[in-house]
Amino acid sequence: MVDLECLRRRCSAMVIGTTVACISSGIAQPLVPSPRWQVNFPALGNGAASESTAVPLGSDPTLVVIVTTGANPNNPQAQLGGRKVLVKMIGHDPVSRLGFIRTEGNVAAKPLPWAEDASKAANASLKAIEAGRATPCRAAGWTKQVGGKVLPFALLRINFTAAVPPPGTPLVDDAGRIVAIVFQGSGSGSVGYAIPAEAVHRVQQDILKNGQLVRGWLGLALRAESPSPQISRILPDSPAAAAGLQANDVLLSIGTRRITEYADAANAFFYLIPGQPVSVKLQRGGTPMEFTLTPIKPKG
Amino acid sequence: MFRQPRPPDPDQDLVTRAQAGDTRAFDALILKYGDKLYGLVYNMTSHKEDTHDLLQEIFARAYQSLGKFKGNSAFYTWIYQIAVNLTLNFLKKRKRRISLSINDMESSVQQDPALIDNANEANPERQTNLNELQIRLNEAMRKLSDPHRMVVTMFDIQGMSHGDIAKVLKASEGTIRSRLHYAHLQLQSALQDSWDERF
Amino acid sequence: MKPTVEQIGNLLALKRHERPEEGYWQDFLCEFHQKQREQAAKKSGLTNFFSQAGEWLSEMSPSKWAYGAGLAYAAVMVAFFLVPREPAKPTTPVTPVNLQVIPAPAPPALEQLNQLDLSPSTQGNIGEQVF
Repeated sequence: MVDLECLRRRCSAMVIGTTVACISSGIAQPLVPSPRWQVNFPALGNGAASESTAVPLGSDPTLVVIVTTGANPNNPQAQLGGRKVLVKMIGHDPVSRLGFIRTEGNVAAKPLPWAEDASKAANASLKAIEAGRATPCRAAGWTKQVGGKVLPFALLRINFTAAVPPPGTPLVDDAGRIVAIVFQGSGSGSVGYAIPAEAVHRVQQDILKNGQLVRGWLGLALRAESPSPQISRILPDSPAAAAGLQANDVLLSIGTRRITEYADAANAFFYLIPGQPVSVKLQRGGTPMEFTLTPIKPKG
Repeated sequence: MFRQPRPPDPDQDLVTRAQAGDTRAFDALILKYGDKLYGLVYNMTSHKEDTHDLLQEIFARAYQSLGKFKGNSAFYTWIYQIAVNLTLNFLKKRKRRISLSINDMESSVQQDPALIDNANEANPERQTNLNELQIRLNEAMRKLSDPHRMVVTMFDIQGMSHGDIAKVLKASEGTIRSRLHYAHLQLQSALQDSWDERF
Repeated sequence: MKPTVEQIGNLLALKRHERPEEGYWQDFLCEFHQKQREQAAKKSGLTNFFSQAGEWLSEMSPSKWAYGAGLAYAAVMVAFFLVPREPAKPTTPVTPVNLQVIPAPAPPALEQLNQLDLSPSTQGNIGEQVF
């Protein structure tokens, strides 16, 4: 039998399922294999079935999963530690591919805590939690575009030591908080992409409340081919117009997110919430200026 | 973008700035069209190092000649023409046999994240068959003559119309169609043994 | 049995997704800038370059040969770009290139922002994106 008291004195405890995994000085010391939440989605049409690890969001029995391209989100088949469990899909966002499922009864005695965001983890050492084992990996910055295509929000690029873990696998920081979940491999070796915690929170909030992601809309236009994030047009009767933004203003920051290029802006705008004011700093001519805008729901 | 009547060149602004000496504007054009031109050159040469060298030459030539670009065609059409000409010239001069490194043999199908997504990993045999077919297809493409490989690359891979291909290659549409027809027959024969009814 | 032309076309269309590896274009731009600098150096006077190089070499002691080899290589590279391919015409002056690699702007197709899909797009729409 394991001396749990001894573990609590020496390790920061993390719980997956109903067991304790010990992480001490980066050495994974699983005591017993933790049951893993595994969710399978059947293929949609000519697409492909997919499988995701499910991660509890908190104390209520809601878990987040990844529904990959071509999979049908509506009929998840879940297992906990190999044992079939009935779950229901609460909602799914086709933009981020995040799905939220709910199960009857308790998910775990003590789910992993979530970080608010991954801002401090962008180049940090992390650990991938798989069935109670904590495998070291390393975040290698943000990926804002792939193949010349700007992503709807930035992903964390992760260097794993072995194969990329399954989609949905939580990645934790030194404090044991989930900062991201694995999205998919990059297609080359042990490099993968992960959805940051802030994106999970952003989508979760809307899916659980409205059933869908509702973007915050400002009514300003950017040209992606422009080397700098310069506003090309302000739409009439928009929050941007009301606040006094003008065409040719160059964005410097949206909220706490610094903007240096179009892809930064696309990422920042993903996190706007209708009705929640946001500070926008920009440069007009040579003059830095600051505005407060309140995004609204997209028109049309 | 090759349609008639031609819409305004979407790159007008970048081109004008590049012509005025704004190197970042030209960088933006490289990044914008690099992948497309990479696809063209790589499918013609089947060699990554040659592709890289050719692309450097193509963009260098375009940059040096930018002052001569008067906007009579879209910028992309213009640089695509440069790429086609330089690639065909290169292939004529290439003396050495193309020996395929393992890297070249790797099917890029395996490296595309979305296709890994869709690859139906529950059926690895299907994925293996698809990769083998891709390899056979690449071999068959290499065996085509340069003009035939060029029309297949432009039509089947890059999705250009017969008319646009004819303009770039300075041939009649009829010639393009018959070249394509012949090339497709060659490819069909080459894949005959590898083809599986399941596909 | 033979594949049909349509099946061949579908197989070929898969090749539309071929892309160089991630980071390729950043390195490409660095090399491109380097070559443009060499070209600019040539335009500002190759003679000066060699004479100065000659003086520099004569001042070196045993290691000069290593430097000389490097210089010869650089000279070959510069000469490579001097081979005229077209009749020279005056072009706009080449300003010193910025070493900073500009991150890739991308077509703002609405479809791209509406899908977290790591598959490369074949085409994007040109124009602006409203946020």
